[in-house]
Amino acid sequence: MTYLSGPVNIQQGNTADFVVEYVNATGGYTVPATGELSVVYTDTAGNTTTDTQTLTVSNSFFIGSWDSATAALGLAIWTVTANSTTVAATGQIRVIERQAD
Amino acid sequence: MLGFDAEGRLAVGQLPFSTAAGEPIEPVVWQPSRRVSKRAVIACMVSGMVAGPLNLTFPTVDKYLIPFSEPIRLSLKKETHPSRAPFSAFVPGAVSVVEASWYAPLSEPVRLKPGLGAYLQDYQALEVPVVTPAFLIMPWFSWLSEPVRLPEGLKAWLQRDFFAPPRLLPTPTITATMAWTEVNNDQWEIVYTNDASGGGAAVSAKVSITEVDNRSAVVSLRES
Repeated sequence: MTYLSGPVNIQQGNTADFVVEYVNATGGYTVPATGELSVVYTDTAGNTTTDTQTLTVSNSFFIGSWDSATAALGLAIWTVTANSTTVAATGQIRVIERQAD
Repeated sequence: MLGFDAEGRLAVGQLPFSTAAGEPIEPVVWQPSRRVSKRAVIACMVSGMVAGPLNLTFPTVDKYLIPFSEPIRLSLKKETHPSRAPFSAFVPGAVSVVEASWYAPLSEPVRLKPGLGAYLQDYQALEVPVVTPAFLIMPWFSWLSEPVRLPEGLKAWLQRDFFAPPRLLPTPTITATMAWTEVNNDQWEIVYTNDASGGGAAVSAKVSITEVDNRSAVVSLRES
């Protein structure tokens, strides 16, 4: 599967909030029973880590967030699934250095 | 001769009236005698003397009539009238005094004061209001003249019927109720279908990523 978009730059230490709408085969919106988000990244110790969470349903929107505080600089791969089996979308997050305010 | 004495005087006692009671038919006046004074006659009456055929037994002053002479209008004072004099006793048979006057043919006739005419002896029980008529006069128009002022119309307080007095009670509340019966029932139903609910298996997704810093401030937003 190709990346949906990306990579999205996230300053190290910031949080990335995800809002997901699932689309069926005909292009219409659908609301699966459950929605999940998983982010695979390299932590500051150099270990590959996967953060998985269940998205919160609000009408037809699924909401989740990922904190990059423990992530090392570099790329992180996020994946959104439906009903824990169907991969709906995937993308990249680039953790960059924090910039001066 | 009817009592004419040698002096040419006619005794009252022989006139066709009775002096015992009643009023004299013709006015008789006291005509002082030219030859005999009144006091002398009275003195003779009191003494019981008689002169001629005259019966001088009257307790009052006698009177002599001279025919064709100008009547002397005698008017005695009221207080000397026997009926009005105080403390005077009624004397039966006395001659009552009569005030007499002659009618003057050429004098001003007495005008009767006419009374109030019958057509004036009425009143209006009802007050008739004066109604100002509304009229319009249209003379020839003059360019430089004062414009014609139209009089105001009948005043509002005059625009009422006297046969129907004005209403004293306030108009009561009138409630009008309309009732109708509906036949058949019209129903309509709106069905909102959420395409997202049960719309099939998800094959893809649209994801929006918002970067939020540690102060809960949105840094960036990326949508797919």
